[in-house]
Amino acid sequence: MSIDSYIHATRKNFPKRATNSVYRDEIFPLLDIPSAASGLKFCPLIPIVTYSYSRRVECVEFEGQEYLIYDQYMGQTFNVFNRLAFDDGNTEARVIYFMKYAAERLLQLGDERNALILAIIHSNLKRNSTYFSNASPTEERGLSIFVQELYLMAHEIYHSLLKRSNGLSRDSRDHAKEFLEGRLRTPNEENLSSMSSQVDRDFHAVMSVALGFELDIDEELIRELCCDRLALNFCATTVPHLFGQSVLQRVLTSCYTAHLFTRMLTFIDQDLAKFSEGIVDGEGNFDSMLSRDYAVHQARKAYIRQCSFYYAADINQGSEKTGVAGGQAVLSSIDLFKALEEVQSSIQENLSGPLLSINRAFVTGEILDDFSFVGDAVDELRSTRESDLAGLAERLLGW
Amino acid sequence: MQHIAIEVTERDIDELRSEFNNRNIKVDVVRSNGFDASSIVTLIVELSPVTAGLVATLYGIRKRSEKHIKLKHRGIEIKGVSEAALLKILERAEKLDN
Repeated sequence: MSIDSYIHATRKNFPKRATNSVYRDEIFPLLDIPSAASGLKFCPLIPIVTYSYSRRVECVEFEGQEYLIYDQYMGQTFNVFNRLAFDDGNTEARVIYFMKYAAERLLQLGDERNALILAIIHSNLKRNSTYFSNASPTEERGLSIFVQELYLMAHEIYHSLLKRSNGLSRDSRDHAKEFLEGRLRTPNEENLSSMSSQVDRDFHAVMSVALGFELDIDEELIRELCCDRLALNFCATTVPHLFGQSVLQRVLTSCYTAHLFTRMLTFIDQDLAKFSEGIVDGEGNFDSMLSRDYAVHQARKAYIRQCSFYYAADINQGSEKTGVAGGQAVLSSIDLFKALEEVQSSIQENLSGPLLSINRAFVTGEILDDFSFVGDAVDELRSTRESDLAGLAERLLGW
Repeated sequence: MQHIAIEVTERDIDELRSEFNNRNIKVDVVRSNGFDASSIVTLIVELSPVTAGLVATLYGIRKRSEKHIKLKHRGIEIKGVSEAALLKILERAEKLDN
């Protein structure tokens, strides 16, 4: 058995879509991180590029060898998020893309019917829309996505290095703790905007719901934070070396938005899993979301938003020196974060009942005429009752 | 050749691995860390008429004792796991590949 068996079993890989040469020639050589970080002469990880809707970026250990598996579709997704973040107020594009993302996620969860319904809605909406405007210049997005992909990979490599070494140094640990605790203790620093005060209030409101909950500053969280910081430092030194110091501000911004996007996707995935369980189990309600776990989940979300405002403030301070308005990009990403949350909760509120009914109708063969809200979906559902639902959903999503 | 991914927790890995090894079924263990801070341990087993029954039985036992277990084939989580369902997946996948 080889690493290919693992890749093949854990994601539906479309290897022909991956542009391996770009990574092999331009990105992987930059990632010879250990030579600088730990004195090793070569990166101990073997890099592999995949292209799948699992979007998983991971370090895996198999038969004593470590691999960095990078899913290029994650980079493509970040590119869309960059466009959505810059494309202020384009709610329609956000809804259209979220439908696609959610459908792909539900496919992975084995929830084929709901994936198909969302894929049909996505396809219908996209057909009648211009989708994206060209709010951000191509060149700017090109640098952003280059940095963000580098950041994702560097983060994973630093995890691998920390595992190989004896863990975190005392200094790194103290720095991480100080950062985490300091942010929670002093939420009203002068450099925060009035918007951040609102987030601060939201945060404490949610925390109070999670009665007795304290943000768990455990080893795992500290390691994550350190790898974030190390990856940021890596990008902030490597990329300006290639393109000149004038890009530093944009590099920092791109790293912070990448950080925000990954956290956003984690939360969205967790919510979609709950959503799918509610439907699949036939309960159709979300009582579980009122549980303590859900409150903690919401508190973590608010915490990430909170940290992001500090990032924006940091970057704005830097912008004053360089004249590049990087902070605005982070703020736009936070807006995107909030907008996608709203889109998602709207789907949960407005579609959970109808989706459950459609599922029942599917099972019992009842007439679907009442569900005109999904437009063409009704005919598609009728004609595909006995066929490959996942395959149809994939085709509609462009796979 | 079709492979199935069995996601479990680190503390359960030895027990499951020996269930396969005792029947001379080759199994590989892959440990991964992803960007969402998740650590996953995955057993990779060839899906065949020989292994389908055992995989379904082990899945059922772990589910009943409320232990974490997920089965994936080509990245898609398998719902309603049974020997028959796994054999159907195998048949369909082989048809698609040929």
